[in-house]
Amino acid sequence: MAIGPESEPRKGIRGRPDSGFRFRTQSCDWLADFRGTGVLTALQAISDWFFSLQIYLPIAEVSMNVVLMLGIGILAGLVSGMFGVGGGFLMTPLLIFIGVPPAIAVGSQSNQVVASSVSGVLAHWARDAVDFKMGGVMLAGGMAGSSLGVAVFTLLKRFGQIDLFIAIIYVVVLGSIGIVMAIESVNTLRRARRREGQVTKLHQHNWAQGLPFKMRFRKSRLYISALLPIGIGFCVGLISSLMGVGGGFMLVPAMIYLLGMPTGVVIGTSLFQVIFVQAYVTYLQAIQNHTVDLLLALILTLGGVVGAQYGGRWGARLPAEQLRLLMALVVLTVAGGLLYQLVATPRELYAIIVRGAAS
Amino acid sequence: MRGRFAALLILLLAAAPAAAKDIVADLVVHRIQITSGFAGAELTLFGAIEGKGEVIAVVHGPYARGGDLIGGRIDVVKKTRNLGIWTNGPYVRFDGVPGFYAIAASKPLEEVVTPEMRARYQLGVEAMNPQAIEATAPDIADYAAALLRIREARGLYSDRIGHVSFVGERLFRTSFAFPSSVPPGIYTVEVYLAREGRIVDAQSFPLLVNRAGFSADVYDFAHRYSAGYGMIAVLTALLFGWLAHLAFRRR
Repeated sequence: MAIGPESEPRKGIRGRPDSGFRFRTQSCDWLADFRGTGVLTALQAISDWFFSLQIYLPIAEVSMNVVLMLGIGILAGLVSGMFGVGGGFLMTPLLIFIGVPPAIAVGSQSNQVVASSVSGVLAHWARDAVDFKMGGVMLAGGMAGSSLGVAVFTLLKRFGQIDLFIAIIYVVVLGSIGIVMAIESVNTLRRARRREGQVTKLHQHNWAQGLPFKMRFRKSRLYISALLPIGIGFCVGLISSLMGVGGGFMLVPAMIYLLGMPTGVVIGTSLFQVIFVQAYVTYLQAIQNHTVDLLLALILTLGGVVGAQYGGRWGARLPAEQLRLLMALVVLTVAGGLLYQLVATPRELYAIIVRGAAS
Repeated sequence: MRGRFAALLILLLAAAPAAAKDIVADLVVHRIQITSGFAGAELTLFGAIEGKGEVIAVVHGPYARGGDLIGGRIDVVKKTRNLGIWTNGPYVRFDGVPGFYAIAASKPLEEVVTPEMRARYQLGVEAMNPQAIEATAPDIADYAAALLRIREARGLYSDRIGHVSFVGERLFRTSFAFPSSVPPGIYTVEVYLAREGRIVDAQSFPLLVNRAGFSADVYDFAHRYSAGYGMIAVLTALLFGWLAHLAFRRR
């Protein structure tokens, strides 16, 4: 409570008693502090100002620091711009760390993902790098998967286990992806050092070639079973709706390695698909769980958009393989932090749960 | 809690036929509004007493159960380690627990009232004594202690006794600090006049804490017209995504 400065009569700037004329606004009081008593007071004033920028999130029902939330948005945006993924996987854990209820963090994130995917897909569309047919087929699976995901979410929320579940799924998904990425990028770096020109096959022929319902995807130059993209859409839709992320970090490798799509159209197509799946998830979360905080989503979007611009510029300067190793380390750090919270003995062994009126 | 109300009622009935009230008090504001910029609030109470005596002031509530209101019926769970992971284990369900509790007195409570009086009027967090209505663990007292401890850490219950200051002989004032996480609902403010260890007069009035302004409208809309809210959320995101694209388009 910042009642300190007002409660005691103040002297003028040069130590004379105040003659009556004084700027009334708080910002000028702040300035007077700065001139009068030196750096320490100024720092104090800056920290006061920083912590006073609280905003009450209407759905989360907590007061949060705006600068802190914007900072998280910018950080996640930087990561997403650098590595070309959504950055949501970083945002949710950080929001949970600063005290946003996990269920609200996940629900609002889905909304933020819609905004960032729209701005992303427009850029790819301008370069004609979106396979709309492939995106549409994946979307069918994604809708079904995310419906199931939100239903599971609702069930877990009712049993009071949603927070635990969110933490576990983050540790498992991020942990496994981080390990795979780290191994692969280390291998590639080592191979590059040995300068062994390895020949890789353009298309891998496997059991997937035998599946029925074959379709032609002109832009991706593929003739494959529609069941494959539908299945990928379903799995990613299920997991990403539970995590509140776009799922680009799962979709992109799946489209490259499982479908064999050309890398040029992969990101645009995955973003296109993500817009619709996450718009649908936002809608479902809003009507079934009331976990979408519009204000939180807008603040995160603002930070994320700005961060992504700079992230993209910085990312272009780093070599791809080192970038991937860096990304793997970021993912593993987040997973490790969440795992630590699950395993470490909590300082308070008890918790209060307010149950709904029904129970 | 019921015991306290009964005691208060008897006191009020007994005091009614007597002369004018010996203690009167009021709040500067009778309503605390949780708006978008809400970062906690300070509630000022002032009043006057007739003759000598010490003053105790209490703010507690809300007791509404379920819904989104903290208070009323709550579960306290104990975390247990399963396969190396800490999960929610056994629980104890308590009823009639206020979401907020604060107390202030003009002198240390021990000097103002006798222990019996303290227990009867449930003065102070230690005297609150939450009632368990359902339990899957035998050590209910530990759970009750944890409940008080957690709420104290969040600033919802205060174990410290605030100070009621006198201005002259008869006028008094005090203030209570509400944290930003204060639950909305109907609160009760009580003032007691104590003489020689006994409570001789009391006054009680309601205090409303409600969501107001933009954040309240958003909350209401999101819960009442959730389909419309979901649609607006999606459309806003689409709009902002497009605006972001326009703003940062490569020139």
